[in-house]
Amino acid sequence: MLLQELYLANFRNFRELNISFHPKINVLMGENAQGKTNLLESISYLGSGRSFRTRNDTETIFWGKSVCVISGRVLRAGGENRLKIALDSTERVKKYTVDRVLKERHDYTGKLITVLFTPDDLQLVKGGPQNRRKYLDEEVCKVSPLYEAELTRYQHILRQRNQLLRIYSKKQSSRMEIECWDEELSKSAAVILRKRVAAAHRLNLLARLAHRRLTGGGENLEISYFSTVPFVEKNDEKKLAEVILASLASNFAKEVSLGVTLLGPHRDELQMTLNNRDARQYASQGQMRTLVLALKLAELEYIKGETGEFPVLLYDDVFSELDETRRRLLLEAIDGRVQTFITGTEVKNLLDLGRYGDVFRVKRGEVEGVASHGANPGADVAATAGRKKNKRPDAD
Amino acid sequence: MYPGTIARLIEAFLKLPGIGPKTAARLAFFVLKMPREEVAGMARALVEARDKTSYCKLCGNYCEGERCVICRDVRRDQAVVCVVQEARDVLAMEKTREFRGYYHVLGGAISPLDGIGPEQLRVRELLERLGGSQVRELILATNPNVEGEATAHYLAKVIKPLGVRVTRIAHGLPVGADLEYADEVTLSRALEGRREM
Ligand SMILES: Nc1ncnc2c1ncn2[C@@H]1O[C@H](COP(=O)(O)OP(=O)(O)OP(=O)(O)O)[C@@H](O)[C@H]1O
Ligand SMILES: [Mg+2]
Ligand SMILES: [Zn+2]
Repeated sequence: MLLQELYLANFRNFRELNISFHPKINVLMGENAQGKTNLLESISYLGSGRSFRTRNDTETIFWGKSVCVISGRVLRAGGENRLKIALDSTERVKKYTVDRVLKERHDYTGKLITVLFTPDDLQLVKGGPQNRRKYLDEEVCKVSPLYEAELTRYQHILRQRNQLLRIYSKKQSSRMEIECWDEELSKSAAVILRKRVAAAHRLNLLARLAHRRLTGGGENLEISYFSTVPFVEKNDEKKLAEVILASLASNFAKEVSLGVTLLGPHRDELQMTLNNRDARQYASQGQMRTLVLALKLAELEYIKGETGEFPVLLYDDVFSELDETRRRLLLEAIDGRVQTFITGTEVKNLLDLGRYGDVFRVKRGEVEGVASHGANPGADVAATAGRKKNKRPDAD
Repeated sequence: MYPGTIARLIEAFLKLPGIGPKTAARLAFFVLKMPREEVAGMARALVEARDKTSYCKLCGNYCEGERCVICRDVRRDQAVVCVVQEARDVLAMEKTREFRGYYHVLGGAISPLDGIGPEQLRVRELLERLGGSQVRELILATNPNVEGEATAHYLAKVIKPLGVRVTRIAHGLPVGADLEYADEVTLSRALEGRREM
């Protein structure tokens, strides 16, 4: 899929922006604090309906304004779509439209799928299990929009049940009251587990492959899903739910003494090992970077496998950190098949990349085309600048 | 921004559910253009409805007086009682014209995080009503969301031992939706396809 045009109004530090992008590589360069990450954020937001930086939508609206619009023209195998999200902080509404038709969130997402790569991604390996669960959940959400609702539902049941577990010792709840949440919790947990296990299996195969290429076959990566649920039949949702229900019952005493639900997808771990050792504990900085890169490349292939199309790759700041070999392998992997947005401050490396696409300069919330296509840097400025004046994709 | 009286009117509309500042302002300006008698009628209707409406002592439905019109109707089927969360859900069920039994309004759903347990709902009244009655089937029509399901599970657990058949309306309803927004056809189908708890 391709993001052809982007229109922003009052998103972060962009008052109004209207640009066309290159189908292959788009380099966004600029000093610190000019809006490079904001621009990537807007693209990811346009696809997922959510910011990767904050849970509070109003933070993304230009300071002092109450309304913001993100819209864009997306080309997919299925055709072209105009996507638009409008936020209104005073009315507290968020409207999703596809081709000017109002949509529910789950009918909106999935039309523009993005994969983000930032320096923070090292937390995937270094950080706690919740980081890896989130990674896995996000991957599943990208390819099956209804999974997100299931996750929310699960978390909601869990919070209600935990509240009862907490007040049980004070005799403010009864076992019967707690048990009336168990059936729904088990059913929801089973749906999540089945999806997660399947995704982890696919990602493992793809990441191992990518990792072998990145390390020249020197290291062996293994990604495995460890569940707190003692399941065997991972493909049979009904059976899985029964196992969870039974486990909840046998864990009752322990759960009320601790006041939390001890078993379920919220306690599972996606373990990553390098040569059979836990990467979280033993991997060096460089090994972690390579591992994350392998995970990202696996993501691209996973999404391609599930949806039939490559997502859009958003690459924030990390490109300059890669060595020559990794950079080449990354370029090979995307090789004109994956529309890529790369940000950075270091001009030299980035301009080299610009040979494969367009180069833009981001400065104080404005974006200017400085070079286009394979030409020498700066030679094709007029072409890019000309395209900039195109009609706004969805300005109403 | 606006003169005091208009600002107060906007404020009043803002108290209604689903109304944001823009809509509230639009409604307020609309009211200013309405004929005086209409506005007076509207204001009277608001106060009268609030003053005269109370809850049925037996089922918890809206009524004027002790018993609601449904509980007073002796031609209905005494063997079936349908449990709903809110009094407005009775209206939704009645619109289907499929259900001929009586109702029991819980006044909400179990939600531990909001401090709502069975004691905060009209569960005891339901048990009292069932004891020694001719009720043979209890249809649980709580909302198809997390709290509605948990409430249904709870009621099934406490009522089945009494020897009453307990059923749950089918899940044809959109997940997470409120009963009151379901259309008649969906609701009749949900009623028809009810299953044993
Ligand atoms: N809601 C907002 N309204 C206006 N400006 C904002 C808003 N949110 C953030 N900004 C500003 O946007 C600026 C640019 O942020 P951004 O993270 O995109 O910088 P960057 O170009 O990626 O810089 P770096 O190279 O340091 O990562 C920040 O300095 C911040 O003050
Ligand atoms: Mg940045
Ligand atoms: Zn009544």
